[in-house]
Amino acid sequence: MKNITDIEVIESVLKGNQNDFALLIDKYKNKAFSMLKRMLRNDSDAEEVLQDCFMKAYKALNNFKGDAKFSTWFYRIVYNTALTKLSAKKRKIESEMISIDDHDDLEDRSINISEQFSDSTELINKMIEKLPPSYSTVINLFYMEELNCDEISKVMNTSVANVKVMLHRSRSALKDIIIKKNLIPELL
Amino acid sequence: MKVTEEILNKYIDGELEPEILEELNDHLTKSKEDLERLRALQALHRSLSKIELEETPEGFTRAVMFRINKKNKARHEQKYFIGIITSIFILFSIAISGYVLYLIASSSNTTNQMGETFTNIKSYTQVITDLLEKLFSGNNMTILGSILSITILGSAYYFFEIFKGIKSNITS
Repeated sequence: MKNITDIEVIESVLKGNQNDFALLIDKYKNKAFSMLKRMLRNDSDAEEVLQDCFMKAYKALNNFKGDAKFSTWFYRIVYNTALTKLSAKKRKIESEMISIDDHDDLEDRSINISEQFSDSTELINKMIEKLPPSYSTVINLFYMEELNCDEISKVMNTSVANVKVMLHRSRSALKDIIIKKNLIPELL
Repeated sequence: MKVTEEILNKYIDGELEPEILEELNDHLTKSKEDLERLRALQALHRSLSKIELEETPEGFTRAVMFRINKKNKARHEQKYFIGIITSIFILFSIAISGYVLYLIASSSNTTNQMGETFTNIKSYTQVITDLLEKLFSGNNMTILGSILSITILGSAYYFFEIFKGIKSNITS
């Protein structure tokens, strides 16, 4: 079966075949859901926000010019909607989303991993959860969505250098836990 | 060699300069501690690359498509209603204009003189003004007022229902 590109699907939707939008939903729902779950740390919030994101994307589909990839454009909607949700919940994390200077609690957040985990995935997920939302977003976009630093910078509306710093610091913080808790055998 | 976190991360991403890479490889044969740091980072990198995606609850796509179709339906209804109101208004305007033009044209055919045509326009305008005056005075005013009020109330209720639907779409 021929692989249909995102652009072809979008053109079809804009021509009036609105049900084709389901193809885009099916393609991106799990990736975006993973990102939202890590940012919002709540299943029902993640689902609700994801529905809103797809509604926003559908409504704004006319504005998608195709300069960037649809995935980058869509993840930007997801990221911004999640930030709005977080600020609505008064978590006041806005300052930590972009700043690369405020990392004092990065290590502190990750120290309390003492439970036993059935597999390495669970362990990794638990460790990512300990990261601030911006850091977990960078990890998520880089590893799970397989975006490069340039694309991530567009999603998060920040510089490539900033993305690299966040990626390095996230990995280093996670690595320190691995060493501290002697978890290398668990991950191998 | 001082192995910073940046160097280790660049090693993982394959972004190290060849000379630094060579120096690092040489250093790692001597420093067990730095080698452990690198191994931990490599293990983390591999695990992160293999991590599986979370799945949305069942019926997610259906739920989003339902919301989209509902919204589209409400938008179509709204467009339909506005279209009807606009059409009625346009038809009404065309009817009045047509009637006036008809009166002018029929009068012009018989006289065929510009001066008289303008006189006719003036007289027909006077006729329309008198007609409107008659319509909006006395009992007629009450009847027209009632019809107008019912139309406005009906339209307002319809618009209220549309916006209630849109609001519930947004909040649901």
